[in-house]
Amino acid sequence: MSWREFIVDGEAGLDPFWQRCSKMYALREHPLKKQNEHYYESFDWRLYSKGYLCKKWGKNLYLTTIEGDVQLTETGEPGKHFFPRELPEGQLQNSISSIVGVRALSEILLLKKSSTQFDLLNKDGKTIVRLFYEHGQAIGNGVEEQLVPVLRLVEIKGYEKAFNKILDLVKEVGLPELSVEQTFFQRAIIAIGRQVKDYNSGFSLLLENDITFNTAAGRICLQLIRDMEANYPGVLADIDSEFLHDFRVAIRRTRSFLSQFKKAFPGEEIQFFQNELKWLGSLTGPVRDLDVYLLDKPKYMSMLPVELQPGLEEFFIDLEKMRFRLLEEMHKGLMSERYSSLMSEWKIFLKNLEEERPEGQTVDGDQLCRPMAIKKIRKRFEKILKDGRELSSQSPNEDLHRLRIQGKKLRYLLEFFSTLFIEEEIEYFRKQLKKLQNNLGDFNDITVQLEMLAQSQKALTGRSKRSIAIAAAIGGLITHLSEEHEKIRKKYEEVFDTFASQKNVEKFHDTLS
Amino acid sequence: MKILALYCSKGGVGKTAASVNLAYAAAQQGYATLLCDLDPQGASSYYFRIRPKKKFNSNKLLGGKLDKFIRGTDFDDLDLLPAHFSHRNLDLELDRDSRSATHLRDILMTKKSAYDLVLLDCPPNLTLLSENVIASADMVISPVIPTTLSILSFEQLLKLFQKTGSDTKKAHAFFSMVERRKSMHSSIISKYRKYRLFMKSMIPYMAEVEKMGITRKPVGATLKRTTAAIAYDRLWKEIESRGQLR
Repeated sequence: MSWREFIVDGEAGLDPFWQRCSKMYALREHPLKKQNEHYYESFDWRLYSKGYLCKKWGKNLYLTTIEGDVQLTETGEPGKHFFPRELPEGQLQNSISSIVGVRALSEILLLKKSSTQFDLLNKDGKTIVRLFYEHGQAIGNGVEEQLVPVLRLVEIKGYEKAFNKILDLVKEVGLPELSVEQTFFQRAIIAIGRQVKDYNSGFSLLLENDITFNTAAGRICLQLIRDMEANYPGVLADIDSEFLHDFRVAIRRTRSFLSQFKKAFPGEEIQFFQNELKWLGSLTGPVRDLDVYLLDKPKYMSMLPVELQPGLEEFFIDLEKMRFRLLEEMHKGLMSERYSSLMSEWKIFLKNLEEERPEGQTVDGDQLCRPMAIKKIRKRFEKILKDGRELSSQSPNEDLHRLRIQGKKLRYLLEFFSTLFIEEEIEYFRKQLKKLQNNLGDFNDITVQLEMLAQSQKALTGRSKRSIAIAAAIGGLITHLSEEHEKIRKKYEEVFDTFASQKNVEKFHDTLS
Repeated sequence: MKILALYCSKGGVGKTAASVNLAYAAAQQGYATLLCDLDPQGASSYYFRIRPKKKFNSNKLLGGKLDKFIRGTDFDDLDLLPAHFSHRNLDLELDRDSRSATHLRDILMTKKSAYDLVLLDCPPNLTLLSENVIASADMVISPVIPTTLSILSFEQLLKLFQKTGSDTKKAHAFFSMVERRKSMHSSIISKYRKYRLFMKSMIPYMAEVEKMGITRKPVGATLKRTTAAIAYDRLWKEIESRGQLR
């Protein structure tokens, strides 16, 4: 079935169209249909990125394509936020779960649609064209907006002539056609002042080859502030773990940028911001650490034999309680004067970077950014090669950890300045680095977990049944994780050699020239 | 895609009403349905208020050029290939180019990706077309008024099955236009209902069905659920189960 849509703009509305139409055909009007559709999505548009929408209508939840074709249905009337695990078991839950992962789905749009169906009838009383007059309200993002009414013409199989006649009428009356690319959903999102996929957790910023360092620094750091501010409400509302994760990543990226280019910034002011960002990092760290453990709970459970699992369950109950306390402290800090003045002062500083030359501004700021970036990246890469070659799978934990930090610095540099290079080449590089970082990262994660578990075990006082059960569970975990730790450690040399291969080194130098 | 033929060698037995109402019931159950009106009288087309396109004729049908001439009814999932006056010669044309005994099936199968079900509303006669229909269909469903003469016609139909070498398991009948107060109806029903051929569901004589000629829509297409709609729904469910259509 094919259809076309037209915008009904202007005061006259559809009257000119009806006047012409009624001369040719009889009209049957159906009763007005009203329908409220609630649309749910993760903060980073995971469903939409895979071509889906999730909507609640009436007593049911639907998974549809972006164009609106229903794929799966389930009964359910979630509230403003929900996790896939809260849905009834079934195909819908499985599909959503596999796309959305650990994120929650939140209501991003309420569409109040009103539509009236009209049938155009020939002299036999047969419907030869169906018309739908649709209008509505889009509510979301703190606003309520009327949507421009739309006239949809639906062709009936075998009655193409009539359909074309009506199309001609519509053209005569001058109603502009709605472009196929814009679905009802997209128009509604735009109406509430948003864009589809207006947030994602990666970092990408277009930098021109000929900008100065000051301009680049200002843009990069302001983008990172936007990322922080975007996640801030979700952190306060504690909707899901990824808001805090992305918030902290933005802080880390900022701190890395400042420390790697410290000398290019004016004197003492930058030290102040570095200190404050460090405070912010430690304010948010403890909650994130616990989030990671809590997210890994199923994994830990599966590592233990059945007898030890109840003990682990108790351990996690304690972790949840701890998290709740730490969350309150974190929220206090995030709602403090110290936080809000940091953000406003930092923004002012960055905006001034480009405009004026603050006192004590170094010459570096006016220099071209690209050569500075290349120099930094090359230096970082060489350091990794040198340090990495000296290490082996027998090296102490701290040394491997330090290499990982180096790798992170390089990774952030590649992210900040990726648009200054050829896309495919930088992509190749990032992928190679990621393999190394994955090995070092996994290793480090387990190192941290083992330390935390050992500490928890020590902290267990009392000889209650509960404490003993927890201690046993932790003991089991430590054993299992230690084995994994060794396995990952043994792979280091192979992984590093692949990264530091002759081919890669040559390619890398080519990319940077 | 399954092909169901509504067929009877006598007229006036409620065949067209059954074609229209069963097609509607199937579509309501979610089957993408095509009703083909092969009867030159065009009654089912009339009920759906659909006329054939000017360029349509029986040659076009037998030539396999269906698509352009199929028209959507006013109901979701239900399309109609309207009848044409030239269909009165369908049997001659089938004979002419020595087309295969299942020529109709070959043509209809070209639509198998578009439809789950094709219903054939067949003309009430015993011709080459009937033979082709019997050979082509997965189920041949006959309405039978519970009178002696109707039973005789039905027995003739079964003979046609044997002549064409078609499996009589494809034959299904239901009692149509039943009036319980008539003693002949009751006795015929009692006598024949035990045969597997006859379905349990029956269609009583209903004024509502006669009025279809005025309302020009299936009995199910009303706001309130009527006795007639319920009767055809029940018949459809039994057909669905016998033919294992789901």
